[in-house]
Amino acid sequence: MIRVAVVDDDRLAPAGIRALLAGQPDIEVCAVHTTLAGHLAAAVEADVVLLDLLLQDGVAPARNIAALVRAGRTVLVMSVHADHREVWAAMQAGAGGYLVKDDDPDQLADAIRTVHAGAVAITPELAFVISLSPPVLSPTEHQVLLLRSRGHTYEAIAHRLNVDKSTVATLLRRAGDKFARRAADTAADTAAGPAAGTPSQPSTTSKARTASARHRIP
Amino acid sequence: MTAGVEDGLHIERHVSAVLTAVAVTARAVALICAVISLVVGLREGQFAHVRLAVAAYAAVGSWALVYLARARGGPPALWISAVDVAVLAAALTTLRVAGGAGYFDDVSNSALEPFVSAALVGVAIHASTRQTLAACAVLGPAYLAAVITRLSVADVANAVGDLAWQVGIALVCLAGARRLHRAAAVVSAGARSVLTERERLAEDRGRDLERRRQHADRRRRHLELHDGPLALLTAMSRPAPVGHPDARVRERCAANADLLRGLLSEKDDSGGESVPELRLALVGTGADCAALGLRVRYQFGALPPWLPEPVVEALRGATRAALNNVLAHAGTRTAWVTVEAAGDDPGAVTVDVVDRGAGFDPGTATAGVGLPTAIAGRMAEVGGAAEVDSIPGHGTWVRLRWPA
Repeated sequence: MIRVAVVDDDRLAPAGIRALLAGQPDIEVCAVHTTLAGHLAAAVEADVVLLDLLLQDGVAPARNIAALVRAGRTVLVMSVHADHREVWAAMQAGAGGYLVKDDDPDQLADAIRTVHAGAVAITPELAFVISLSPPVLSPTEHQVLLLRSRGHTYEAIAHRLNVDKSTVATLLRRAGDKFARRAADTAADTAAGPAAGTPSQPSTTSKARTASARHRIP
Repeated sequence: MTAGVEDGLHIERHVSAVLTAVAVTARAVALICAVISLVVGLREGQFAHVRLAVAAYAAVGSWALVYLARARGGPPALWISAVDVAVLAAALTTLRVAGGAGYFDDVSNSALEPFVSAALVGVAIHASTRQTLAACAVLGPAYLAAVITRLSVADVANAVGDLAWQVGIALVCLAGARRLHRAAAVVSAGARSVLTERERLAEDRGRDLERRRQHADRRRRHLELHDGPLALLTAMSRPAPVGHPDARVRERCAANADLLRGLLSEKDDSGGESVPELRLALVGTGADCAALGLRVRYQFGALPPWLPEPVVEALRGATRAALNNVLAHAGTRTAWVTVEAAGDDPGAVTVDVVDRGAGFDPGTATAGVGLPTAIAGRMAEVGGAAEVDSIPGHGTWVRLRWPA
């Protein structure tokens, strides 16, 4: 059973997520908080934190995510809408995935399972953000990422590339790992460099970093 | 004294004032010398024709006063220099006649040397090299003709030697003035380019501020729509008890949330909105489909800065046809519409319409019959292209590209 804690300051949202996940036998919503401080203070035993990207607490989303990651949490970020830069900053801060809040229970449940398993949940919307400023990927990884970003299912991608569905999952996971590693590296560089505190643009960090890669994903 | 870059623009004026001061000083000193010469000449009885001599001195002196008065208004006009030279030449010739036997030997500056020198300096610092040489060519012989009373080697040599320093000073002034003018031109050109650059920077900063303000405005609008209607529509699209009890209303809420997201979607990196008309056209098309129960998830990447109107219209029509096909044949309620500048060409655009529905066999199916004409035809008309790819059971993918 995957225990999910929800942090969202929209009063309707947590109940909506409960309802959405009601049909998933392996996922339970164990806690709901409207503020991050409340969540951290409650010291909930949760496997995955579902965090609203744009909490109205005046704190930069990236800092909220970093605080959760420091506390040892796996974070899945949701938002009713976000622009590329916000998503990128969230991933850089250590989020395990991003998805648009909507009414699709399967996508949400899949994403929760994926981040719980330690991988990056590459929803089409996240694939799209990654594709706008991709890390160095193999041609196949890049192709899979692009197809995913367009909304294709794993099966459709597998058919088009003439590979197994599990290969698609592997390729996507690899692309996600490379992205997460680069995001973590960039975050470290940003923190160390003179430009600390200014959000780094995805376009300026599109070059690969290799040797000293710090692995965030186990 | 604090000087700004702006002062650099007026350096030529400063240089001119300095040079004029030199000419004025030389003239004032010459005037004093002439008064002394006249007084000494009169007391010692050195004039053969006293009236003629006084008249010559009076002419030179009063002209000098006129010259000084004019010099206040700036560098002398060419005609003033010409009159200057003529008056001096005439006075020298007159003094040759009016001076007594010992006049040129016993009276200092008897041949108006300070005036000759001042006149040549005046021409040298304000006029051209050629004009300076012309003035020398007139005053030099006039001077020599006045002072050489005996054609002995010593007299001629002395006269030429005296003339040499007067001409020499003029040539030094000529070279100095040239240099100063050239340096001033460099300084003012430098100042001008600094000022131009400064203005450009200020303009850039203004534009940047404006862009940031617009960005902040848009951001605030986004946040308000985001926290209000979008959050509410999302909540209402969720299953009961939070969402609406009627599944059809929930569906409409979800579809409208998609629309709102599409409208809120990405701006380009510069913070400006690129081809808003394309976004509006495509989102508008989606709105029509939403009314029929189709969810359209929009994704907008960097878009070309500009697209011709017929192209926007063709992309809209082709997208609409693809979405209609999803509605009619895919048996699914969701489609993804992704719009992005195409690959390496920032002026090109691609639109992907993807569903996860029934699909068809592109080789044999009849379901896709309408697609090629409705989609490819439209795109071909404006120089674009379309591909339709479908896998039975795994959805259909329509890709529009412009230019082809």
